[in-house]
Amino acid sequence: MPTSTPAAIPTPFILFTLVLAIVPGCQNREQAVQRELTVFTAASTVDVVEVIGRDFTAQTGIVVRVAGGPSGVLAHQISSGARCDVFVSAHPRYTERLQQEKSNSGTLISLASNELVWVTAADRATDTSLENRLGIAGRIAVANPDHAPAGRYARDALQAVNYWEPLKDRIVYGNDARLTAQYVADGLVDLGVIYRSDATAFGDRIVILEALAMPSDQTIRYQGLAFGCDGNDAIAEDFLAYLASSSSAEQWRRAGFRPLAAH
Amino acid sequence: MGFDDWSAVRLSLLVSGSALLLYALPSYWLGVWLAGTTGRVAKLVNILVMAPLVLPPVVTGFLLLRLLVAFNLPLYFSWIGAALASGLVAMPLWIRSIRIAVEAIDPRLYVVARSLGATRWRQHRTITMPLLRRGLIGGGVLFFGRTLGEFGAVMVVAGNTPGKTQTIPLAIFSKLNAIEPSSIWPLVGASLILSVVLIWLSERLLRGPKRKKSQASHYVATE
Repeated sequence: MPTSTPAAIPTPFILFTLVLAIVPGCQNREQAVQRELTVFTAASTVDVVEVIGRDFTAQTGIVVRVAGGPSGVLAHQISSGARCDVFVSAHPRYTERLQQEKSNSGTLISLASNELVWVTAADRATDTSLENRLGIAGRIAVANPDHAPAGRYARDALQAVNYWEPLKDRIVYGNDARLTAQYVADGLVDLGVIYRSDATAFGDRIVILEALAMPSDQTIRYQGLAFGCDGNDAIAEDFLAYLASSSSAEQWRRAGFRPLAAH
Repeated sequence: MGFDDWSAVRLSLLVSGSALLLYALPSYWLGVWLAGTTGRVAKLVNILVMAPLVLPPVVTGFLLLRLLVAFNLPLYFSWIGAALASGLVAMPLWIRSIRIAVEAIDPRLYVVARSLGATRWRQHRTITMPLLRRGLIGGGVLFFGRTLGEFGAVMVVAGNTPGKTQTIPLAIFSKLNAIEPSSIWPLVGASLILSVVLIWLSERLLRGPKRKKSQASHYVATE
């Protein structure tokens, strides 16, 4: 009988090998983690944060892993214990709540601002007067104001000019900012209220009719929060500072945001 | 339970109930047809109708949305759109149950029926229909349950508007990530109650003619 079949290897030997394989893994972890950052970023900022992340990697050799999603989902994941070094949120409420929850309240920096715009699909843009279109238009797409910051801002802005109530029955909610913009681009709705940055991302498929001003006491502000897990504090702060730096400002601007560069 | 919670539960039942009605006939017909056919066309149809079982529901929803746009059917952003989307995702479960039930029917029954001069329709009515009852009901309950839980396809096709298209899963998603947190427990409770009732209902409906225990053990003993 051959003794070299896998079944013939004694169990303690297998266990020992497993332990050998795992132990150095633990020891090396800190070193490996040093070279890698996990960034959770609001869905509307994924593209620009990825670009800035690549610049950061080119300069420092630190790999930046970007995970995008609705700010609320990401905040929920972080407070449930997901590993994340830097969080970019589209609404200050989420960063506030996370800072209250976490013992390590991290560093908070305002990164960029955004603007809401009235938009329509390029192939529906025969009449570009918002006034006329509000009179005749059918459905209006807005992100869901309960959980999508884009929708919350849109509702606040529309309420401030007394548009919300009269338009309410014509409004359909997209699940998030990008999906709402997609509905507009596909011509499924007549009008939409979306971020200028999302309108920019869809290029000439979406036509901007007018900007929708926020109430005077509110701005659409993207905040970055650096926690730094597993001894990543220093490079997490470095990356956050890089996101807010003047060298990243051009990337934010190109994506349709207004950078709030600190220096 | 708040007003929005109730409207989510009501809307979920409306959406799933309508999906059940909308997809009953197609599922029945496809299940029976696929069980009795082996041609190339049948194979292709089978792949097409089973695809939503393995496709990410978001993709199924996206394709349905394209289809509605292409055929100029403005059913998106409505509860009917939500019913179409969630039913499309759940339909394979129903078709498959019916198909398996039909395939399990002893073919000799049909031979006998034919020899006695029964028409195809009579064979269908007196053999197929009674014997696929369990597959139809069991599959229907699975279908209903699956539509209740559908998130991705509904989200893409119908959006997430409370009172119009926000079914239970979408409402839970919204609450879970809300800017102002509120309790998700009423809706979690509603989902639990609905699933328990569904399972109880299916057990009841599926309970066939009662078989005596002694008889069952007799079968085991002789095996």
